[in-house]
Amino acid sequence: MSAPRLTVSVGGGGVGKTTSSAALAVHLARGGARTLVITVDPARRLADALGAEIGQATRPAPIDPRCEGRLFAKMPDPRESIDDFMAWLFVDEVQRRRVTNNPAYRELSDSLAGIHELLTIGLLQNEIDSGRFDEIVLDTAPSRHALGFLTYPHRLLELLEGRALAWLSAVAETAGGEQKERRGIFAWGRAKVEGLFGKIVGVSALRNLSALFGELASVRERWAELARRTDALLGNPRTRYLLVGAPTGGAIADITYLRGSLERRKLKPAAVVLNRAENEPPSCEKAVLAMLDAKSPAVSPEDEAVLRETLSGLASEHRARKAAADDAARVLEARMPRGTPIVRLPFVGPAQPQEIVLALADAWAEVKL
Amino acid sequence: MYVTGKGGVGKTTMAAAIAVAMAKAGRRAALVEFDDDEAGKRALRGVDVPVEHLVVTYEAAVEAAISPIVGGAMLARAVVRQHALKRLIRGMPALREFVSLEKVRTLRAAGMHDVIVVDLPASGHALDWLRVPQAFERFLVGGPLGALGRRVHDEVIAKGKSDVVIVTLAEPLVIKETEQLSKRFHEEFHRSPALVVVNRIASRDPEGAADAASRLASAAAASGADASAVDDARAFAKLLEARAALAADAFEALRLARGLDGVKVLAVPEAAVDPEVGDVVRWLDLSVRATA
Repeated sequence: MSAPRLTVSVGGGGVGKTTSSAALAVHLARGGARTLVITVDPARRLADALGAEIGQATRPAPIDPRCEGRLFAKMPDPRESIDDFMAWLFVDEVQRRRVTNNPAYRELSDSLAGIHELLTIGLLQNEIDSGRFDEIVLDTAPSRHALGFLTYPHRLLELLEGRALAWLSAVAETAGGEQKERRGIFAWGRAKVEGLFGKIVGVSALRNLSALFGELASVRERWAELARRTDALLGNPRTRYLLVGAPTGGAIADITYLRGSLERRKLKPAAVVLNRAENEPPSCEKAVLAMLDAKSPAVSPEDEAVLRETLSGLASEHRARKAAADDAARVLEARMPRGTPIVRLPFVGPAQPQEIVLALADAWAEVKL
Repeated sequence: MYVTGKGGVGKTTMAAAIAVAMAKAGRRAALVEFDDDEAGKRALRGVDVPVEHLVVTYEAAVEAAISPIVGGAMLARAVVRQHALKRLIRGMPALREFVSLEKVRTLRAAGMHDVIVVDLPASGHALDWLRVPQAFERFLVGGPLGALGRRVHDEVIAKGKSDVVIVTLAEPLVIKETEQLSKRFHEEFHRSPALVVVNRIASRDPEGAADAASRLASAAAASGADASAVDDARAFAKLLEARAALAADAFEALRLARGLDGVKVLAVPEAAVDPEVGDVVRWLDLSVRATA
């Protein structure tokens, strides 16, 4: 059993990242690969488009008969994922309950900030192990910080293994009034800072926090396993990173930022995907204009006027979109490592999400990566 | 005034436009962003009214928040830079939201502005942000941060102290999500969002365009034009029908939005490409006049 190839899509919000990731998965499945697309922060619309449902389970995505039996989707509800993750982390149910009942956990886990990163790894975990897939497309949360998941287990492991934890429990004791005698200027300074920290956070909260971190540290082999796995993914030369954007100033800034973020991890983007990059207007518009010019077939003067006005409105939309896409492609080319392919996926006019996914899957077939 | 919405709905442009519109009306306006200065700066480029643009970075906000508690900026820096704590601060959930809102509180307390527009990050919803100070108050009860949680809530979140603007798209399903958000907001914070901005309302083709196109297609078929011309004419008719359906969807979405209890709605048209803040300010103007 060989490990599946992983494609990681990152990019800011609203650029069509989820749609183009789903389209890539459809394309891969059409080619015969057993494919899974994981969307970290799913929108109902897209789940509907794939024929999948938002939920913890991996389900078939019956969007295209040509992918029959090979395309799957996992679109977890972030809040439920936290519970799943805790269940994986703490095998011992009693301990898990102690953690989830800790006031520190209850209050802090409610705010989703920072938790996405953890979930992402947790989600990938089981699917990679299952051996059911050849290709996994991971559509990360729409954020500049989406790549944080690659180093999060390490950061946490450092926190849990290092002095920080011992320190925290020491502070909890100090703040609780059990002062120990300390000697020397260094120890004095340390005690001072600890005292300040206790003062900021308050005694009972500090105890809860310290207990919570103690529990998290007790399963440090689980964290170490996560860290090992993310390293293996990161170091795997088959893993591809796609930077996804659209022709808007914000999206280009996000891509530039994410490129730097890959670079700091000594990684390169496999490609930049520029969504909604208008190339040629649909041929039917040109053809209709030619018919009007040739007066064949004949239409009433009123109809001709309406159609001409409509066509000129459409033409100016196309011009604006094409100019924006060309500009964006130029800027991106200059900002990416030399030779990074810029994949232009077309602007798909008014259509249902499902039709857009299928149209973009066709476009992916033209792309050589 | 907190501006919120999912990623990519045009939230930052809208937040900047609201600040600019306020400044044009002669009010002292500030635009506050977290961590990312590019977006707002880009949005405000070429704007000719004074809008103060503030970027709050996480570390500076942590320092500012704890310095009155520990008794000075230098001590605060010592705590923030303490080796073990540095990691704790980086990994601590909800602290980011908390210190950011505390920054908004001190900005307001300084009294230099008539209106402070806060561009909330797209990750997580406004509700997740706005409930953080109260969560701190409960969790850190008795400690100074708990007390600060109370103050932040009372001064810049509580009813009468803040407004929430939701930016959303003109699609019925997206509006349904907005409706749920608005309902939860009502349950938890006992009020409605001040404003729902429905962005990117699809442009309408001229009246009767789709019908004219389908007549053209029939005429082409009847006149014995070659098959590809007939196909093109039919494809064009289908395209216009789809565009009309999209416009109808937008109309329906707007109707749903207007039905939200006690919520004012602003409609903003779709531009083929990223609109400039100036455009949005003009649209806001027009739309206010149209609703008034």
